[in-house]
Order: sequence, then C-alpha cells, then structure tokens
Amino acid sequence: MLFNTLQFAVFLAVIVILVILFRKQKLQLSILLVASYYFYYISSGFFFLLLLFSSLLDFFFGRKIYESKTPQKKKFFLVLSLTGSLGILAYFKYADFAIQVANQIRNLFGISPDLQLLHILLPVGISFFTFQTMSYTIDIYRNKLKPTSSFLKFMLFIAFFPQLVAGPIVRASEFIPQLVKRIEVKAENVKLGLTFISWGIVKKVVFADNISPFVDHIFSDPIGLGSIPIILGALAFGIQIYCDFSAYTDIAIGAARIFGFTFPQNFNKPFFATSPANFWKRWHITLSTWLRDYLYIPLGGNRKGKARTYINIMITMLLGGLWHGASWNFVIWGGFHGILLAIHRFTAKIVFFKERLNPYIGRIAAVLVTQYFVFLSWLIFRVRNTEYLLYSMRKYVVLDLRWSELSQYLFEYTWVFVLIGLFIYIHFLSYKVKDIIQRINSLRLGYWFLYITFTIVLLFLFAPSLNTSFIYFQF
Amino acid sequence: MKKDRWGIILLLPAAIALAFMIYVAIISLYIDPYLSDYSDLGRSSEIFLFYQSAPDCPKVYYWGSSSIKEDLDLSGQSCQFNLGNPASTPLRGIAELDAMINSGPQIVVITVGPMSFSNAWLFPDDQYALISPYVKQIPSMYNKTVASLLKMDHLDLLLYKRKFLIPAAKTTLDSLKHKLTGSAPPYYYRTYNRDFISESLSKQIPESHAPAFEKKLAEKKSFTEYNVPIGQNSEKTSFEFIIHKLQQKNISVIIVKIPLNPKLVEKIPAEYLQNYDIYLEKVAEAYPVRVLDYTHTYNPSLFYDGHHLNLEGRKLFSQNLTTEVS
Repeated sequence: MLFNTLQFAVFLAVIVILVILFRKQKLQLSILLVASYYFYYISSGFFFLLLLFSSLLDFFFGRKIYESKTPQKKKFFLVLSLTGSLGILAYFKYADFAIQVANQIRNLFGISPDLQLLHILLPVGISFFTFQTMSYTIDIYRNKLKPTSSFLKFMLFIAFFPQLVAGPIVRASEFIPQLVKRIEVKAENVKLGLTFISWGIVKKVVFADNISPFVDHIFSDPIGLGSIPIILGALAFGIQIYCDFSAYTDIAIGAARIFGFTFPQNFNKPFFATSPANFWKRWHITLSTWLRDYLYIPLGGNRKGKARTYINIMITMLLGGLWHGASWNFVIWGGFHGILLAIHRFTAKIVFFKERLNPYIGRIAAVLVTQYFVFLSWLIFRVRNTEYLLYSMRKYVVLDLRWSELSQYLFEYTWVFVLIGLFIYIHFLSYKVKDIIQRINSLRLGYWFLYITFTIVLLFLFAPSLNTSFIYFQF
Repeated sequence: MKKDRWGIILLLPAAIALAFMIYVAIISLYIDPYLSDYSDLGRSSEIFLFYQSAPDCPKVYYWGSSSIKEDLDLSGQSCQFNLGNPASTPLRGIAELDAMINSGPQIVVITVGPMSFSNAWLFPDDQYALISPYVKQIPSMYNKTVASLLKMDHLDLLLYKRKFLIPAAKTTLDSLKHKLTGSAPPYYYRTYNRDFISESLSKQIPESHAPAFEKKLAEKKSFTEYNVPIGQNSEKTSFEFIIHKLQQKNISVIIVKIPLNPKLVEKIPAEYLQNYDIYLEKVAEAYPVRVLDYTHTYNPSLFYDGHHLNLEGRKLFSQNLTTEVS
C-alpha cells in the first residue's frame, strides 16, 4: 500500500476513527498493531511472519540481556540477537549478491560451473526494521534502555505502519516511552499531521514523479551525450531522490503525528550542506546517526589514532552503502562518501581558506563544492550499468559543453526545469524561514483550509496516471 | 477541543470537494479549449459530432490519416467530405466505423500508405481516450490497453485530461512569445478540427518543403518505420474488417494508395513496398474493391515532406482524385 494512493488515505482515516472511538489504551494499541500488520501484509504478503519472528527474537533476547547477571552472559545473548537479526538480513538481502560475487571470483580462477542463485524475494523494509530491532537489544546491553514488559508495545514499535517500510529509523528509546498514555487524537496534532502529509505528497507526486521521466530519459542510454545533459540529469536525480525519500518521511511523520507520536527528523535541507560531514547531518539523519552510534563509535570512532579513524570512516560508509542494496553500485557509493568524509577531515585542518575567505562567500563556496561532489555521487547511485556510469562520470567531471543541448533539453523538458527551479526556490525559502511546515501549520484555520485545498488541486493536476512506488522501498 | 478535532477532520472532505471543483473549472476553461483549438487531438471527437449531424445527401467520404486531411481540397465538390484524421490507422478507424456507417455514406474512399499497415504508426493513445465516450462497442481487435482507454467514462476522462496541462501551458507560452517577439505562433487547429472539406495545416506553414524532412533524409539510411510485414497483423485485420462491414451495408469502397515522395521511396527498403503492393492486390481481389494507385505519381517538388503534399501538390492531387472517384 503506497502512501500516495487513495487506498492509504482511506486506510488512515479508518484507523484514526477507530482509535478515536475505542478509548482503552490496550485496544487502541491493538488496533494500530493489527492495522500495521495488515499494511505490511498488503505490500509483502506472508513476509509479515518474518516481521513477527524478528520481533519475538529481539523481545526475548532483550529480556535475556537485561536479566543476565554477568557481562559474558549479556554479551552472549547480544551476539545471539545480532546473529539472528543480521542473519535474516543477510539471507534475504545479500545471499544472491554473495553468490554472484563468489561466482565472479570462481570465474577469475577458471572454476565452473557457476553456483546457482537462490532468487530470494526481498521483504519490503527489511533493512529498516532490522536496524530498529538491533538498536533495541544493543541499547539494553549498553544499559541505556530497560526492556519493555509489553510484547504488544514492542511489536508496535517494530511494525508501526508509518515508518515500517522506509523509515525514519526510530529507536526504542524514542518510541516506546510515547506508548505510556492513552492515545488522544488532538486537533493540533491532526492539523500538523495533515500539513506534514500534504507537504510530503506534493513533494512526491508533483516534484519527484514529474522529474523522474527526464532522469530516466538521460540515464537509459547516456552514451553520446555531452556534459550539460549529464549534469542536468544528476541535478534532477538528486532533487528527485530527495523529494521522493523526504516525502515518504514527511508522510510517515505526519501519519504518526495524528496519533500524537513524534518521530525524529530525517532530513534537514541537505542541499545547504557545507561539507560531506555536514551533509550526513542533514541527509537520512536517522540512518547516519544509527551508523555513528552502533558502528562507527563501537569500532573506535576517532579515539584510536588517525589511521584507525580513517579506516573506521571507510568501514562505516562502505557498510552504509551496502545497507542500501546488494549491489556494487551502493558499495562504491558508500565508499565514495567515505573518501569524501576522509578528505574533508584531512583538509578541514588546513585553515588557509577559512582565514582568507569572507565567511559569507566561504559558506556559499563550501555549499557549491559539497553539492558538486554530492551530485557526482548520485550518478553512482542511479546509473547501474558500468559503461554508462563511467561515461556519465567522465562527462560530469571533464566538461564537454555543447550549448545546443541546453536549449534542446530546456525546450523538450520545459516543465521539468520549471519544477527544478521551483524546488530550488522552495528549498531556499525553507532555509530562510527555518521550519516551513510549522509555519504553514500555524496559519489560521481558514488559510490552512486554502493551503490544503491548493495541495489537493495540485494532486488532481499533476499526479501521474499510475501510482509510482517510493525509491527507498527497495531498501 | 473535540469539536476542533472533528472540525479539522471534516474540513478535509470540504477541501477535496472544493479542489475538485477548481480542477473541473481548469479542465473546462483551459484544457478543453486547448484540445479543441490548439491540438489536432480535438479532431477525433469532432469527427463523431460530424457523423451525428451529417447532411442528408449521397455522401462520399475520404477516410484516412493526415495524408488525406492535408492533401485533399474538396471545395466545390458537392456532398464530398474529407474525414482525414492525423496519425489514424485502420485499427483506430474501427472505433468510428459504426458511427460512420450510421451516418449513411454512399461511397467511402479509404486512403492508405505503407505506414497504415506497419505497427510503428499506431494511433496515439490519447485519441482513443478522447473518443471513448462516443464509442459504444469495443471490437475484439483492440488490445487490452486500448480497450481500457475506450472504456473510459466521463469521470475517468476528466481525470485523464490533466495530462494535457503541460502542452496547454506550452501553447500559452508560445502565444505569448509570438505576441512579444513575433516568433512563429502555435498552430491553430480550431477550423482544422471542425472542417471536413478543405482546411489543412499546410495553409499555416510558410515553407513548401519541410526542413526537418530534408535533414532526416540526409541522416537516415533507410526508413524502416514504413515496414509492411508479410502476414497478418492487427492493422491489416482491421482494414479488411472495415471493408467487409462497409460492403455488408452496401456502401461502395475505393482504396487509394497515397502519393509518396520519390526521395522517401528511395530510402524505403524495396521489399516493404513490394509487400505493400502485394497485400493490396490480394485485398482488391478478395473483396473485390477498386484500387487507385498514386504512390509514384508526383515529383518531389510537390511534396512538403515524405508523404504530405504542399499546397501546389495538393491542388493537383485533389483535381486528379475527385475526377477519378466521380
């Protein structure tokens, strides 16, 4: 069930009404849980059993870790929990990729025949809910969290439908404490939730879905194109993926908000990032902070000397890349960001620029340089064919400017460029006014009604004929 | 507080209703006029309106694609109508067949070219959608996609029309640009769409030869899109179905092979044209039906592009064809 469908709107409305009608907390949580499993069943069929199994596993091990008296025993149960969670993830997401890599190595040594692929179906959102369950047991192990005694609450923490299939990655310490009181559907939460949802749907349906045909056109076969279409394609894809993914997050935050739950922020104007490190504080924040807290810091972070710091950065980013999908593209994408972070860390100490540049100009320059590399990295993310990727990267870096291509694409895809321009304007505006959604939400009811009406008109006018899936569903 | 909550929840359906009304207004006041006046897609529905109110006389219909729409001037001909419709193929023709038969023609002149039987020239989906409210029965020849477009009801169509917002906006921009800079205005299709006698786009085009066609000729080694495959395909099946149905209703059928630019013919692989000729010979024999062949009649100076004549060629062809048909 996609967020950008009428089916979801009806689903959400029914759940809200049921939660309002049934006032006992247990009953309300049960309604949300059943609805969440139904939501998952619609998109992933019987894989909901996997979700159930994963929940059982970590609920059990969470308690065991907490009840264990000795550090060895605690560690033992943590290892079992992580083996279970990562084992499930590895099997469903990476088994075929591992076989492919094994075959490539075997072919290198002339060993045949190839090992058979398992053709395993990927359960939707497995990377997201696995990271959530892992954070639960690790936090208990670290004495940062007490296990919940309620299996119902734990199951809801894992399966709550707004964040189930594409995040944000919510931690137990953020969500479970919110389940203490009876759910009250308050007017201000409904208003804020709907503001988030409408903002997200416009980003997805108006921007991402209408920019996507241009991106597909450029990268379906970029060979022969000059630098201008490649750069425009990279720019368009960067905006497309942001509008797609952040839209999902907005809708998730909005839907949760209607029930009174607060989800963590996942994006913070990433196109204004002033360095690679700053980019990861603004892009997919719940993943980057998860990787920082549960991978980078346990590896030693920056506490074990310079060399180890760089190694830790690379390991974290390579695994972060691999988290996105079982493909070399994502590994390289992660590795590329690792290199960017390492270079930035190394050069940040050189104060040459900081001393000589006017802070305002320096900031603009920092944004432009950072975005140049970020958009270059989007090529790695988007273009899966190696020949096409190398060609696109070459054209992006070594400029081959054919100005006739600019007018050709501007003419052919005028609408896409209008949208890109509009997006840049809105993004800039949101930078200026800080929190644009809160601003809209603070409008008086009459004006807010006009805003909602306007967004619905936009949906009527610009929604593509087919409901398109969200890019991050595949992860 | 509770009152507020329900107030906000109830505002939603109100917003949806208001948004829908605004949407309908945009479609009616902006998209529909665009389709009718600035897009040749509007001709599809106009043809159905014509069938509903066709004059009561021994009518001769000239039926086919833009070739016949552009190439034939029927001014001065009594009760003869040019029903050419851009990018039409026999498969699309089926959609209007019943309406056409019901309007009571005496003779139907079906004009065809190699592209009529090649699957590469299928009629744009949009026209199937736009004519769907006019079509009651869906013949089995249509594939599933087309059938779903033909099944559109008025609400579906209303929502479908949003896809023309961008082309309509582009036309508005072109008109503005024309007013401000004197650049070429967008093509005006209102009279073109509603006229069934003599109107053609060539009247709005200043050049008598299309530069784009000359460029294409220089760039392309062969024009494979004119491929007429051996054996049956949905276009051929539809074509024969149309002839059969018309003859069943005692309507005379004449087939006209449209004029082709010799420069284009040079670059169409010989076997494609051979397949085209052989197929039409077979049809002429099987039904039987008269075939008038204009394929190689005119020299390149009379053509606008590969298979459309310019104003001079149009005059000559109109004279020749109407004389031969009558």
